[in-house]
Amino acid sequence: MERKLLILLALFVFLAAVSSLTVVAPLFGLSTVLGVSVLGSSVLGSSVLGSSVLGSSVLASTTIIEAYAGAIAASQLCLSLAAIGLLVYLELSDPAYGSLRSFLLKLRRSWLPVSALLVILFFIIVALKVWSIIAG
Amino acid sequence: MTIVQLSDLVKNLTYSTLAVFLAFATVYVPLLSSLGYGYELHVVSAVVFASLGVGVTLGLLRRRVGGSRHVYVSASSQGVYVGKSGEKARPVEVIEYGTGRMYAFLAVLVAVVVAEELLLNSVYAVYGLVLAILGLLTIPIFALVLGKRNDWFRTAVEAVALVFATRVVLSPFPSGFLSLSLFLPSIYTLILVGVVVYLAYRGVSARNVRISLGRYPLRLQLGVGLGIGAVLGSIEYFVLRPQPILQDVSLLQMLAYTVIVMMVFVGVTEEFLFRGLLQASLERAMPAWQAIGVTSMIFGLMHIGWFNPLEVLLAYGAGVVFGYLASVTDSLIAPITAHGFGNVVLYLIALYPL
Repeated sequence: MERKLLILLALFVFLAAVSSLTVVAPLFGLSTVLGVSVLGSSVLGSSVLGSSVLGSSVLASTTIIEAYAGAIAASQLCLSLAAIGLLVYLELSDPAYGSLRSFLLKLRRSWLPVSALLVILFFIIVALKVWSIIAG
Repeated sequence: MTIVQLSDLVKNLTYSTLAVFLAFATVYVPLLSSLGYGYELHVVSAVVFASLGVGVTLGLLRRRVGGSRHVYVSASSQGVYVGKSGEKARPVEVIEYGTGRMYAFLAVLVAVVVAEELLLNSVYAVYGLVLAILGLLTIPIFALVLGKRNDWFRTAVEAVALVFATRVVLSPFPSGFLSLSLFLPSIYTLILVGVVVYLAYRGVSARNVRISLGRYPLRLQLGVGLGIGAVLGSIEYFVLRPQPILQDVSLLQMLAYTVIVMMVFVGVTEEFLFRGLLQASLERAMPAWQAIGVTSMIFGLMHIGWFNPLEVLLAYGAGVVFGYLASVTDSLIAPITAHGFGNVVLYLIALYPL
């Protein structure tokens, strides 16, 4: 991996730690390209949810927070299954087991970075579950 | 063989951006009056915007090259040389345009992004997240098939899969985690990890995704970035009127947090993904103005979460500006500065509403 990219990653981790020390108050009203991520009880932009957009829409039938809680729970299951499925595929498509169609081999290489990301996310899910159980 | 001049890039970008802006503005007013300011307006306007964007950017392309193979030449170092009589010849990179099938697939990808974002920002958020996971998994397969003859197109399509990854990385975090100030840095660090892992596996060098000092002096790039950021941030404030990013904190804390999060996490990560990976790859498969247009369209559509059609349009326009800066300077310094500083200005104005 290039040194530039490693330095960038190290900077991010360092600044993530710094930013966590900078403030302890909850976020509020922030929305960027990840706008959807901040629609939560504590990071709810009143300028967004307080507008007439939601009042006169399909969203009015339930709270967006409930929808997101359900969505996150379901997506955690999908993500875990996808991560496990990819790991199984990577194992089965290992050239060490014998010859394989070239397309399947190429696909194996294409899915490697996706697998790496999903496995990282899977471990975060597990870690946060364990943490939430310990924290009660 | 065509040599693309800077003036062509500016002309095509200006025409296409103005066309999308004017067409959308014309459609938006009757939509607003007929549908009212509700979710329905949000859905219809997103579909209209995406259709217009695809029509203008990729539609014009079909007229110009008709899906056939053309050759594009730009300054690089791949062994082909061009130069005017009497001048020292300069090395150029020969790039083949993609086929019509590739452009059709790009249009489909834009449609999927629209569907995923609209679902994600509704009570059907679960389908949005599942669609994002499916996109992350299946797009590499299509990239493999369609990118057989153009490896950079394959990279660009896989970059769209990474755009979906920006939504998938939300999944591990329970809703309570949202209240922590570490949330945004965590999300953006994960996105960066995904991009870096991808680049490492694919062997794409940092230089190819514009992590470089660029063609122009650093001071000039920073100055232009700050100026454009100040203007865009101010305009965006009038469109969004956001709340301050933090409440009940000191000004120093507010400044430190905003600058770190907006300049570094938001600015660097988003520009790295959109202008660095996606746009730079597309520019090797299609003319620069179309690559900028497609990237900006996807960038704009990823702002649907604001529930404001004008913000989507503004983000598209900002994306075009950032894309132009990246393309001309061959560096991410100016777009990162403009993007990050624009967001800082946005939230600084929010502190002292006009």
